[in-house]
Amino acid sequence: MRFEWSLALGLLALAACTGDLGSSPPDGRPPPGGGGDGGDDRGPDPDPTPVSPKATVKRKTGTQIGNDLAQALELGSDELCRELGQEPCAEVHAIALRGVSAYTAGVFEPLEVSTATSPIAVDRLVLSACQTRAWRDFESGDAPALFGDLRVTEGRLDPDAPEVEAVITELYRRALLRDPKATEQMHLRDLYRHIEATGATAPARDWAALSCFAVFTTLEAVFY
Amino acid sequence: MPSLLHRRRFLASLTACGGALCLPGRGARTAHSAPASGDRRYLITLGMFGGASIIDSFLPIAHGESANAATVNCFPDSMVVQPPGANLRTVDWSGNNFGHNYTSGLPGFLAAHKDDMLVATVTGTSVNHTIGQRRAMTGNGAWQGRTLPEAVAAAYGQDCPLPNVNMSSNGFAQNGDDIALPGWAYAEPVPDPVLWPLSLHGTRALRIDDGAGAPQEGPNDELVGLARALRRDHLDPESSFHRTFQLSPDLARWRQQRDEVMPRLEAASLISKLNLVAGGGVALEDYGLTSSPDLAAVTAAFPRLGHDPLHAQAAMAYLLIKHDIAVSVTLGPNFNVTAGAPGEPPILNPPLSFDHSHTDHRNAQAFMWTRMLDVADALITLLKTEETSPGSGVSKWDRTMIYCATDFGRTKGRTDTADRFGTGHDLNNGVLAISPLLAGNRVLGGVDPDTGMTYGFDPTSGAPDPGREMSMRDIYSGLAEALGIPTGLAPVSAMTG
Repeated sequence: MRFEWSLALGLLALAACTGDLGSSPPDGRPPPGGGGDGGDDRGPDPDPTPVSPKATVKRKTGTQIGNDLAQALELGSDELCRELGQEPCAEVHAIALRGVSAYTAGVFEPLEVSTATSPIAVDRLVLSACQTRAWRDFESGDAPALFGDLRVTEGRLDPDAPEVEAVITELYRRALLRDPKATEQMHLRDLYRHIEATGATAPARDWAALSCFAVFTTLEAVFY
Repeated sequence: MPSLLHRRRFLASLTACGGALCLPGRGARTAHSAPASGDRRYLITLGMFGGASIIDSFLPIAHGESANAATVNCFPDSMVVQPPGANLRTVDWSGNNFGHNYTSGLPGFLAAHKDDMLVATVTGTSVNHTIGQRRAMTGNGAWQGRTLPEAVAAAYGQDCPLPNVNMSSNGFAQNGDDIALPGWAYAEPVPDPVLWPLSLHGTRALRIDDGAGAPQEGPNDELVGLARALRRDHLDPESSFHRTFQLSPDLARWRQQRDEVMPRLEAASLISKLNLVAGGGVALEDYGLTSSPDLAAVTAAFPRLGHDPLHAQAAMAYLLIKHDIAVSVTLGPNFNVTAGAPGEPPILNPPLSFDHSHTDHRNAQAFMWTRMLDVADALITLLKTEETSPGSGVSKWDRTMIYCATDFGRTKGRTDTADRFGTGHDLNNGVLAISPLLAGNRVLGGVDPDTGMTYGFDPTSGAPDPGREMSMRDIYSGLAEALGIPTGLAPVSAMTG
């Protein structure tokens, strides 16, 4: 009897964790009434998320960020950012990215806090990876990994098209392991409109790179 | 390099700044306003890694002066020299370093800079490298644990993009302990000064190619700015993650650095202004980069900057001060060997730096002192050509101090008048500081020629006092006073005149 109760509770918990992802419609839109992170399609609503009084967070190291990017964007570790085409960015900026440099710089313990150049190092690492992914998916002729479902005509796309919503959802799942809120969907579609309004010659590709960049450099992506 | 800015420290920093995050360009940052640029003072800390011995440089003992010359580290009388007009003496010891004959640079340095040179004796508190180095920076915790570079950054660097830059290692690279230090005054670590400028811009010099080497265009800065604005204004503040952890000082610090400091660093084009890459195997134009406009000048002064980390650090130190990017820079070698290029001495930096004295004391000390002071000489020469403000007639050097910080001294003994012997670590030593801000051409304290042990001085008059030992706190107090930083410590006015 005890075993049956445990099994039932376990299945209930599993369903709570995975049900939203599994019940998404085929077109990728979040189900009515809310997504896994408290989102729904009725626009902004009060966030019931409690505030942590301890607020203990940890910053990812350059190696962790690199691994996340490689996995999520289906890039080899040797395809990530290299400074001047030579040195891996995560190594060049290792100290700023909470790493050490025992043998070359004599720095044996990681910094507990970020330095002025830490966010810059993250931007470089992520922007390079996202640009590479966008270029591959749009231009290389190889099988696309993330942005292949976008319907692009003369460099442009329709930000309200369902495939855009699906791509944003996939981007969030890969970057943050959750579905986007409706507001996040809206903001990223607005980003495309802003990009196109600047007269960019390849707004769809630029949007792909920059939506990836924006999401992968959020606090939620850099800290845990 | 452990940082001690944990949450309690961070909150204290906020409190000290009136609740605002203390970062360059902010209003409320310290209790006092920023000094005008002409009043600004600069600190270059040379980390004399491994134990630079004062009796092997500017407080030497001649054989004829010691009753124990055979067993105490002293020099043939003819090698202890005193240039005309100098109140200090030095050693003219030229020897052999790993198969290369070198010439001592100490007599020439003393002759050139005697008026700015101050030697003060000191007795340290640790013969552990890391701890000794750290205490040389904090004066053994003299002023709430604030390092001297941090103190200078906090006093004079509030309008600088990166007030405190640290290119050194181990204990010289550690942050201090003062929880009231403004967040922006902590050191920016620079493991490699040649590549470090690339960390001063988030988008420049990032190039992707088609796999065959042909560059591909990516979003321009305007478009990246749209994505950054989205991140800053919507994605972060509206996320559940941010809501949950909104009280985190780490997140607050990150957002401040990312959304306020980064744009200022990028706008200043430091990625090119400080770029020490001359080209070589890299086509800079392919990356939208240019070399620093000062590259020719720093290459002339530090010709090995491409393969000698100390020269690269010194070049960067000059650029940081020249452009008022930093007021406090720390540099120095570490335990590593630096090999020379073809045509150069085979070893530019011996293993363990000054600590190679364990194996070959005399040559390690003479070679390393010469190496470090060559760098100091070049920095002084360059800074003398830079005015604090156009037409002021006041050079950057007039407002700069070079502090030769070291771990500890060396043991004083040898056997049978040996010229080749090894030494251990010893608390007893002295320090060298070079600056027009100091009471130059002066030795404070002295050395017992029969033991090689240094002794102290009266803090006010500077009169030698064989019964006194000077502490690291005394040295910190005197140097801070010369730099115009009120610490409340017992004054050592003999160091400033």
